[in-house]
This record gives sequence, C-alpha cells and structure tokens, in this order.
Amino acid sequence: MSRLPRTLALLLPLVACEGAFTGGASLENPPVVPTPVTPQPTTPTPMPMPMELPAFVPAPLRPRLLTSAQYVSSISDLLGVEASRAVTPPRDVPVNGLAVIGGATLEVSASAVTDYETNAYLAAKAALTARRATLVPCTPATTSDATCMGRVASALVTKAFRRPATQVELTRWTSIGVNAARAYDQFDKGVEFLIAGLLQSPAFLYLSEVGEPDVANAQRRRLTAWELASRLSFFLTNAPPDDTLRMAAANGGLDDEAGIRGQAQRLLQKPEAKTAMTVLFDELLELNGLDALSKDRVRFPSFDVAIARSMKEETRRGLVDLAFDHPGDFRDVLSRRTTFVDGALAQHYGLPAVTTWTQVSVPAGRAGLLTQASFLSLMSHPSANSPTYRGRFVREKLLCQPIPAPPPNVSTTLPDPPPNTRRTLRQKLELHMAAPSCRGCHEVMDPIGFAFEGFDATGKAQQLDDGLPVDTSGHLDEQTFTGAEQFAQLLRDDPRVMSCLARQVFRQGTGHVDLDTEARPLLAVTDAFAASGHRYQTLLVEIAASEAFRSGVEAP
Amino acid sequence: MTFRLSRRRLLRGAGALIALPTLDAMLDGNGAFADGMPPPRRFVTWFFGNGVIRSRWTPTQIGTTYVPSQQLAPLVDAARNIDVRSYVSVVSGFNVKTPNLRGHHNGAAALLSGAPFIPLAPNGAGYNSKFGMMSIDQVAADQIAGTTRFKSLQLAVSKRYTTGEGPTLANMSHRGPDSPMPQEVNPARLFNTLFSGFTPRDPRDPRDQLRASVLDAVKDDATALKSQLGARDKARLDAHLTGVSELRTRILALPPVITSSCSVPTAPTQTNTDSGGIEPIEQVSTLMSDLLAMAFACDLTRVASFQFSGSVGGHCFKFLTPTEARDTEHSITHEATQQDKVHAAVVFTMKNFAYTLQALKRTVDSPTSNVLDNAVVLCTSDVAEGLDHSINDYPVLLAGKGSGALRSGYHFRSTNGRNTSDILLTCMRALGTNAASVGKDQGLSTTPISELLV
Repeated sequence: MSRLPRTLALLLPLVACEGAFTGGASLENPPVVPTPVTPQPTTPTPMPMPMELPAFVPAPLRPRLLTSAQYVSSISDLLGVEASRAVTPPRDVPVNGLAVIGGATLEVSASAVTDYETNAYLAAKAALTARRATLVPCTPATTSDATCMGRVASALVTKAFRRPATQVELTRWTSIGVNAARAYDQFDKGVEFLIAGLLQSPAFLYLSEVGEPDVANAQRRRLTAWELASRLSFFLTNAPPDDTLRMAAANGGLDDEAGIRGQAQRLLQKPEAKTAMTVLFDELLELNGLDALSKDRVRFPSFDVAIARSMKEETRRGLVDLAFDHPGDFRDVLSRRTTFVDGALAQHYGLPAVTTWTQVSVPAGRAGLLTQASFLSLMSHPSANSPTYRGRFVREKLLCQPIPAPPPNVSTTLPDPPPNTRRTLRQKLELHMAAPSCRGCHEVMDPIGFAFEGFDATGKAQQLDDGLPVDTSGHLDEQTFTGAEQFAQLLRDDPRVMSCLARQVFRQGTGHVDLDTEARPLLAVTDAFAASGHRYQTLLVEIAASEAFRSGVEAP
Repeated sequence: MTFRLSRRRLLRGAGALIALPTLDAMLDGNGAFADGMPPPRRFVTWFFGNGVIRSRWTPTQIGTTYVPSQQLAPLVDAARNIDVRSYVSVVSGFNVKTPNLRGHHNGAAALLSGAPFIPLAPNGAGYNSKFGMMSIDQVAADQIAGTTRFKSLQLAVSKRYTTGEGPTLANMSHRGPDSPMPQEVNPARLFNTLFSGFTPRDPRDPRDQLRASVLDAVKDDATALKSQLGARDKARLDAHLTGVSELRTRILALPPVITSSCSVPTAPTQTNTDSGGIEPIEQVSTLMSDLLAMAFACDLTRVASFQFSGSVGGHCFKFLTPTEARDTEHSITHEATQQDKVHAAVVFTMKNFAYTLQALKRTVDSPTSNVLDNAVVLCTSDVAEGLDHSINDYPVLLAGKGSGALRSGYHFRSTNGRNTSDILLTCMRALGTNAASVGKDQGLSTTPISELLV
C-alpha cells in the first residue's frame, strides 16, 4: 500500500480551491464576479489504485529546438570552447516552466534566425583561428581542393547532425565549402562558410525525434538509436553524444534496457552531468530569477547583485553535493542541516567568517532548501515577505499542484489595520483570508508560507514583524507544524514531493509535460527511485531506461 | 541639400544587383517624392504592465477639448520640450469581452490580438498560456510592411518581464499561438541590427552571395526533415524557413540610402545593463524611441511593438528610491495603501510614452509631414487597474494621425461598454487597410470606431 500516496500525487492535477472560479466557470461575458461561497476545507480526492491508471500510451514525437545552453554546448563539442564563447544564442522561451518544452512546441522567430546566422559566422571564425589544424585534417592541393573539403565536411556533418550524414548532405555542404573557397581563392574561407552553414541547418538546431516503427507494438514508434543517444545525452549532460555513446548507437548498444542503463550510468560520471542538473534546477527552483532580483535598498542595504549570485551558488552546490559529490537520500535536500556558504553568505546568515566556499552547519531554526536565502529572497516582495508566494511555490513546484487564478474584479489588497495598531504580515493575511472569495486558494498557500515568517525577504532571521513576535505555526493539508524546521521534516517525508520531482525531471528529459497515459511508467520510476533510497542518479537512470523515455507516437 | 530618394522603389528590386541611378533624376523640383508616393503609414503597439488608476487617468471632458488628466499630464511638458497632446486621442469606456479567466493574461491577449488566450496548464505544470491568434501588430505587418528590410521590430525596455507564465505575458508580438517573437532589449544591439546594413561594401566581395547560398543549402537540409513530420511540426519548420527567406532577402537587398530625413544616428553605447540592481529604464526608453523614429524615417520597417514594462513585470521604478521603500510595480498595484506610488509609476510611464511620440514627431518624414503624422500608435496595458484585475473601462490611447485617416486630439468615450477589439479594428482602418474584422470569438470586432476615422 506504500504506493498509494504517490499515485494520489500523480493524479491530483489541481489544488481544490472553492468551486466558484476553478475551471471555465466564467466563460461568459461580462466577467462574472465570483459568488461568495462558504469556504470548505480541502478534501482529498479518493485515492485511486494503480490499476485504475490508464493504459500506457507514449507522447507524440516532435522536433525539439536546442535550448540556448544546449546550443552553446553543441558548438563547444563540435568546434571547441573558443567558438562557443563567440556566440550569444537567442534567449529561451520557456513553456510550462522549462526551456526544453518551449523548444519542443514553439516556432523559431525571424529574429532568432538572424541571431543564428550571426552566431554561425562568429563561431566559424573563432574555431578557425583557434583550431584550424584539428578542423582541416588534410593539406589542400589547391585553394578549392574538393577532396580535402570533403574530408572536412564528413568529419563535421556527422557530428553536427548527431547521426550519419547522407551522401546528399555531404555533397551539399562540401560544395558550399568549395564554392566559397573558389570565390575567395582561399581554402579556409570555404571551411568558414561550410561551418557557418552547418550551424544554421535544422539538422543541427533541432533534435529530430521522429522515431521508427516499433516491431513489438504497432501503435508505437521507438526513437532510433541515434535519436535516443541524443535524447539521453542532452538529458544527462545537456550536451551532444560523446564518442562512446555514438559508438554504442552505431553498434546496437542502445537497443536494450541494459545497454541504456550502462550508458546512462557512464554519462553520469562526467562533469557535464552536474551542469545538466544545475541547468534543470535553475529552472525548477526559479534560481535564474536571482540574476535580476532587486530588493528595497532602505530595508535591505546589504542585498546586492553579488550576494544574490552567492545565494544561487549556495543552492546549486547543495544539490550537486547530495546528488553527485556525496550521494545520499535526495529528500534530505529539504531537511539538511548543512549548507555551503562563502564569506558574504556567512555574514548574511550570521555564521562565523569563512574565506572560501565551505560546507557549514546551518544556524538553529534552519533546515534544507526552503530555509536558504535563495528561496526566501525569490519568494518575497522587494520590501516584504510573501507567505503566499512561498506557499504557492511549495504547492506548484514541490507538490505539482497548480493554484487557480485569483478571481477577477476582486481587490487583492490587504485591509488596513485601525490607526495606531500594529499587525504582523501574518495577521493582515489572516484578515484577508476571511474574505470568502480569497479564502479557498489562500487557505492552501498562506498556512504553508507562515512556516517561513521567521525569515525576512532576503532570508535573514527575524524574530519580530512590525514590532510583534512572529508566529510560524501553520498547516499543510491536515498536518500541522510550527516553524521551518518542522515543516521541512514534514515535507521531506511527504511522498508527493519526490513523485513531483520525478515528473519534472521526466519533462526535462523528454521535452513535454507528462501525460495521464504516462502515469504507469512514471509510477514505476518513482517506486524504483524510492527503493534506491532516493538516489538522484537512480532517478535519472530509471527515467532514461523507462519505456516512456524511449518511445512515442506519431505527432498529428 | 534637401532631397529624398524613394528607397521603396529601389528596394523593390531587392536581390538584383543594379547600379544606383543618378540621384537628381529621382527628385522633382520641390524635393517631394519623385514617384509621387506619400510616406508610408506606420504602426506601433506601445505596452506597459499592470494598468492605471482610472479615476486619475480618464479626462473629464469628451471630444476635442479634453484636458489631459493627472496621469496624462506628461503629454505636455514644456520643460522637456514635449507637446504631443494634439496627437493623442483618448479612448475610454471600452470593455474586454473575452472571458477574464486569468488576470493579466486576458487583457494582454485581448488588447494585443482581439482573441481569448489559450491556457496551457496540463497535468500539474504551473499556470501558463499563449495567444489565441496572431497579434495585431503582425496582422498589420502582413498588410503594410511592403518590402522593408524588417517586417517588424520587437522592442522592450524593462528586462523584468515575466517568463514563467508562458508566451502571453512574456511577449507582445505573436505570429500565432506557438510563435511568440522575442524582444530586443539592448539599444546598442538594436543599432547594429538596424544600421549595419548602411556600411558600404566592396562590390567585389562575394560574401553576401555566399551567405545567401548557405541559406539555400539550409533550406535544402530542411526538406528531408520536413517530409518526416506531421502537419503541426511542418508548420513550425515552415515558419523557421520563412525567417530564413526574409534574412536572405535582407542580405541581398541594396544598402539603405541616406537622405535628408534618413541618416545613421550616433551608435549608442547603452546596453541596458543594470547598475546596483536598477534598470536604466528611462535612458533605454529614450534611445529605443530615437532609434525607432529613425528606423521609420529610413523606411527600414513600418511596424514595431514596444514593451515599456512587462505584464506582472518585476520592474521597480528608480524614482521611488532612495528614500522610499521600493517594490515591484506589480506588487504595489495590489496594495490599496500604495496607490499613490502606482500613480507615480503611471505618470512616469506616460512621461516615457510622450517621449516616444515626441521622437516620432520631431522626425521629418516628408516636406509636409513628420513620422507621427503618418503613424498610428496604440498605447495600452494588460489590465485596466492592477488593484482588482479589472478589464472594464480599459485605458487606451491612440496617437498619431495615420496620414490623416485617424482623428487625433480627441477623447472618445463609449457609453455602452463597447468591445476593446473595436479599437484594434480602428487601427487597421487608420493604417489604410480594408480589414473587415479583427480578433475572434468573444473578442471579434467588425465595427471600427467611426468617430475616430476621418
């Protein structure tokens, strides 16, 4: 019966607020002012049995545009780090919180096409300056030597396209090189145009995931070995397949589950696996928001760009430590009593001074990710805490339970206290929650966020709010707690969190939001993850080995 | 020397390598267009996030004698040499008719496209949405862009626009539901994009022809992939290839021609980089406005979207510091006690809007007109008021004269809550198109505002 709670989390798409404004209730015009409804406690949906899960049907296969980070790593892999430093990729357009989903669903804009072209020539020139000898393995007999150009092309095209090049493609790109070399009477100019062209080809810019018929199942398609190699490699290292993986793809080494597991485990030993994890969690935890976070300078004079960068780094280091450097139970991310600080953060937290990044015990009252300055600063206003943002983050990002929209035409303002009365933020929010139209949703967010009222909007400890002692008691559904440490423990032991994590990591690997019909394989992944003692690397390997990762259906 | 060359006529031969004819031959005695073509009409959608305070926004007077309200006061500012009141029509009393399923998303999609947005919230992913159809600037671009180098421009000032809720809040311009168009936030880069083509090239350099042939090969590569895709992804790849074709045309086009109204401005060094966590909003807005005005005068483009501040954006306006507590504009809109700051933010926004208009106004377009005379500028937001996410009595300004087609300096108020999409259709008509409708579903409009069309 241990799997029941996980199943519940998989199937609970939305937090149950009150009925007045969920779903499409107000599809009429003029906008409906929500009718006050008697607030009702959130009642759990009856837990479905695993056998009630729908039969497994994989997701449609679609071409996926490289994300900006994947574009840069692909150029680095193909042409060297100098070329990758010369480019400024078009910005990602995340959808459903992930750049990979934007890349799998959106169209490339005209301005991005222009950026790709500009970047292609910059990368080509930088590569030829830094690595000509590697790129040109032959001595051209003439300035437009077609044989030598053909050798340059065949080495580059297959790697750039992440699959064997066709003869047509080789001829096409060789002649681009030869023509340019002839026009300039310079062999290297030809190589420049050849490289610049490959970097603009859809075969480079998209992970083509078309698949081939699945002999075992007429309803499904399987990714080809080359497609699977790319999916695996970008998932686990955010970079294109290395030589060993390409060899495996060519030799049938990815045709069975054992082969995939072996390659996945090997890839996870590479340093790029840590980068891939960082890229994913920067998005999942919205850490990229720290790059442009402002705080009120009167209230928080010590908050600046540099400390925001340190906050991001603290969280990244903790995650990588638990997943790779000292692999442990990944649930401890939520409850660990150690963290990483640099000098500025040590001062910020009131810890003994350090001179370099150091693992330290956290001060009393803190435990895990949600008591780090990154989360606490991000999920706040510039001048004040936001228990609502903090609670919403826990619901949406950690429990996979989206919160419905606030009702239209309702003032979201917090009522003013009577003159000369003090009120903590919590007391103001509680007044707010008394309004029936607000209560339904705020009731599932704010009592979670109250756990963190002992920290201010930059994550420093605070005992008072508006001169009054803070109250950090709250509840998550029916479970009550006092303070962030208790809440952290409660969340650590909540199986919904790891189930939600598994879904989000799966989304990153496959470029789509998991479908209802993928719940069965995802449940198996979650169970195997739990059985391993929640080792993050096991989660990655289990996802990679899952049928849902390797198969698909034809897109409409 | 005062002359003006019809670049439009020249550029129609884009791709062909033709010699420049004698300039004098193309001018008539008065320095007007030799071919008698009037200056083209331009369209700008100018957007700011989080609404206004209507009681301080809407002028009391109706008609030509309206006096700018507190929030519209920056339209006349003698100290800054700004006077654009006579170019601005206020449109009030209009309501968004598409269902208000999500604050900000609904208003942004309705005012920029006339269609309901499409929610994207499957299976426990956070709330996201996309546009329901092409945005109005792109509808206009398809009709009026002609053979300009850039079919349209997408500009943004604040970088703190919301990217976590999907394309509806992140982007103003959309070619379709799956085709948001990214904004340029960096004035120095914008300058390079717009004006690098003015640098004369050595005609013996084969570079551009080779770049074009590379793009042909790119298209050929796409053919094999396309044949394996379903209809939806074929369309995605086609959109990509359309961008490739546009780039190819631009590469082979003749360099733009310097004339009395079109000149290459000084290259800005401003890159829109924060200083101490503060964005250089006013400096960037000013430069973007100047560059846009010259892009129009040089006929590099005829359509632009200008995202001053984002929907639910995290922008903080510097004028609230250092003595006052500073919060993001979005969060203060939700506080009843902070409405004076919201007001200050709207006034600041209008100050910047007035500058954009003034930049267009002072840019000569022909001997008898400036760029603003020939432009239609739609200025609006993603909610009517941020405090309550309301979408009725929406704040909208229509500026410019549309080459005489748009009534300016007028306050038109609907007394029966007309559809905001009527305003979009009015823009389309003022741009000289015969568009029969804009938007769809509850947002559909077939009725332009006749009082504002001349």
